[in-house]
Amino acid sequence: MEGDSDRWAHLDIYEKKLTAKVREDYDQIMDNNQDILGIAAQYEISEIDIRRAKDYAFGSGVSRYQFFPEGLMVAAWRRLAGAQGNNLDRMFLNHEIYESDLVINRGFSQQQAHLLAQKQYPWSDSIQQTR
Amino acid sequence: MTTSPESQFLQALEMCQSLSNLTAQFSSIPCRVIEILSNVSQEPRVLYSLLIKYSREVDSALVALDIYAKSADNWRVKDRDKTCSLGFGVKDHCTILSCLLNFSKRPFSFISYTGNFASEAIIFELLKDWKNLDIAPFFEEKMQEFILEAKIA
Repeated sequence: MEGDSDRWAHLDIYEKKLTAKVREDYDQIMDNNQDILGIAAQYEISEIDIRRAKDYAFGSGVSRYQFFPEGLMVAAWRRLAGAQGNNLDRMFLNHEIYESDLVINRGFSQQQAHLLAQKQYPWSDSIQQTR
Repeated sequence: MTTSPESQFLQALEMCQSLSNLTAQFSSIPCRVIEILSNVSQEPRVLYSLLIKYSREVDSALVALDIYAKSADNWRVKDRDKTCSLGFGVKDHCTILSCLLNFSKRPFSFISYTGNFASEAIIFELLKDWKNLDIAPFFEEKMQEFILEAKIA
């Protein structure tokens, strides 16, 4: 897993200037080793699935699949890690578990996997409806 | 051949409309639309009047943009598509477009699809840094007019 700040080296000056906080949040999430067991226990999901989803969404997947950091994802993960997750956060977790499984274990392209995950767990759609 | 700001603006709205066929897919279209609207906005007054003149088409473009933004991952566009020189993710680009396309609406609001741009001031700052596009003073002037009119009414 990646957790060091070098993983942001490819960003340009404007990205670095305006996303310092969310990048720091991503790094803090990856530096925290306590959250996986807690989330796994809380939702009765395997530790392997949580670990894979976390690395996919916040760790090595960020550069591998060229995801740009999102503040809303940080907020969702932090609630899950603090045992304060709501239904939408659970949907976010299921989305990332499913999508990462399709990509990493089943050989789907990231975009195909996202499309399928979005159909089953439309987190990015649902979260906007509550804002 | 140069095209008028109005035809550029209408082209930008059409490009936004085309996003409704690209749900959950990577696209550099939002980035290219930002480029076009930045050109149009070199004189912010021009953008403002076009947004009012074509308000129905703008609303329709915003619906297509919203459908797309809610379906996409926040894929980073720059480096992956050489036609895009703006960093950030595609959902961030949609946020910037939501801000620009709502520029003339009062009360003003826009949708932040990622939580990365918390206020219009941050977006205006980025556009100034990136394109030397200074639209904040005009925006403030119009906001003051709106507040004054609301008080009188």
